[in-house]
Amino acid sequence: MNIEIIGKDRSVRFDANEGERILQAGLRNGFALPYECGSGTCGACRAKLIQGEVDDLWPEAPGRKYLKSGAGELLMCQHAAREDCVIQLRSNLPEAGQATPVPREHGGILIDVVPLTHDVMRFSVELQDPCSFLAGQFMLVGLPGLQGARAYSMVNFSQSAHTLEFVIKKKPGGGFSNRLFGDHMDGVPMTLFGPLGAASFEAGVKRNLLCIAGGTGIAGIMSILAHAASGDYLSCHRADVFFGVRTSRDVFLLRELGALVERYPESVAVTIALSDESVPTGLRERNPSLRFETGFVHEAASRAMAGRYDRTRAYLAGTPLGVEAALKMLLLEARLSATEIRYDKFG
Amino acid sequence: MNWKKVCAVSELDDKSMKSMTIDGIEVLVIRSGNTINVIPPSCPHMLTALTEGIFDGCVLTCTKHLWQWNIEDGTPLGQAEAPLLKYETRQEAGEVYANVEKELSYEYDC
Repeated sequence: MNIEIIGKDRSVRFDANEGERILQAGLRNGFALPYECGSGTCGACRAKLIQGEVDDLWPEAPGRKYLKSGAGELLMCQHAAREDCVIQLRSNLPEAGQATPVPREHGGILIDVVPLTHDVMRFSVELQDPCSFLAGQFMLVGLPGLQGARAYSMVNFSQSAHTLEFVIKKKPGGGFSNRLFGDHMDGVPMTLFGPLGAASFEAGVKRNLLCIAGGTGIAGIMSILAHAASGDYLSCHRADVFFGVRTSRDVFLLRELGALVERYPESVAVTIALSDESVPTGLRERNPSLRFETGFVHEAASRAMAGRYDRTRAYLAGTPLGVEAALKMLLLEARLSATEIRYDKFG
Repeated sequence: MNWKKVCAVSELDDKSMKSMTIDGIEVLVIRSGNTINVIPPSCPHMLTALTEGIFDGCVLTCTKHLWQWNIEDGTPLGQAEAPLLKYETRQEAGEVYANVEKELSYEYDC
């Protein structure tokens, strides 16, 4: 099927397979299209069907709430073309970043499912073929027999990765996380689509890095830090990392973060903010390279960063509310330019 | 012309935004100094509610994709691709009036 996407500035055409999501077909063909979560939640790929018939692959997608009823709108990430289609966007077509790897489908098997806290797991996918991605990007991860894919940011970084690492939080009633938290999952085949996401890091930005993350949002930040640490970036630029969780039961990846500070004591600082608990005895002693504070993570960042926003690129990740609080702080208090702020809002 | 009273200038804090309904039309009323702007309450991009936006007294930011506008004239800043629409307003004796003859909205082809 031939798909034509009309942006406000220009149009693109590509072929889509039967049953293939229109967004994925366009991305796979190397075109940049508007999207954020790619998984039916955020509504960023909403567009208007001008011509042609489509199938709705997930009629219960939460992102449908953004569609105007009766206006012929669809989510490009959850609709497949049944015939040639013409689709109109509300905005310009995004520019394809030159360094951005073209997303595609990847096969792999699940390995190394390891609990990190009472409700966070780490898992890896061993890929059939190596994959390139930018630090901070994510994959749509699907499990056999489970409807829909979920968006997870890579934790690791490699120019050509054979294994992708992820962290996942157990959600009550979450089909995906419940399956992963179950037994005997090692070796289960998985399908991934990606890499996706625009909140990525490239060494060419030449800025000090300010990373503010809540919970499993730390995943993409870890990848950004791993990339920065793989070259000499952190010898010439700072990285200030603020990682927020509820209590000391919820902290994870502290060993990895501590090792980074020990390697770059002059340029890397990591603060762990506990929102619901004062810092318990022993936590600082066990993690002497890390700073611990009580309060919301954006408040900890605001206190520590005051007057230090020179040549700074901020990466935000976490819950929609957490990202919003950090954003407000950066725009209103820190007066950081919006062009220096990156995040992918999945909510 | 359908001039309707919006509110008294004194009802609005400086550098603040307030959602209101005027003659059945939802609007966002924004004060910066003695200037009051009345705009449709949604972002021209994805129609995200601008009541959730961030306003610093001069620049309005939509938190969905960081589109920004100079509120004085509605011109797009930074990554924004489209201007804000504004209702015609006037002030008389400390009261703000807006011409809400037709609901302003952002369509695919505008």
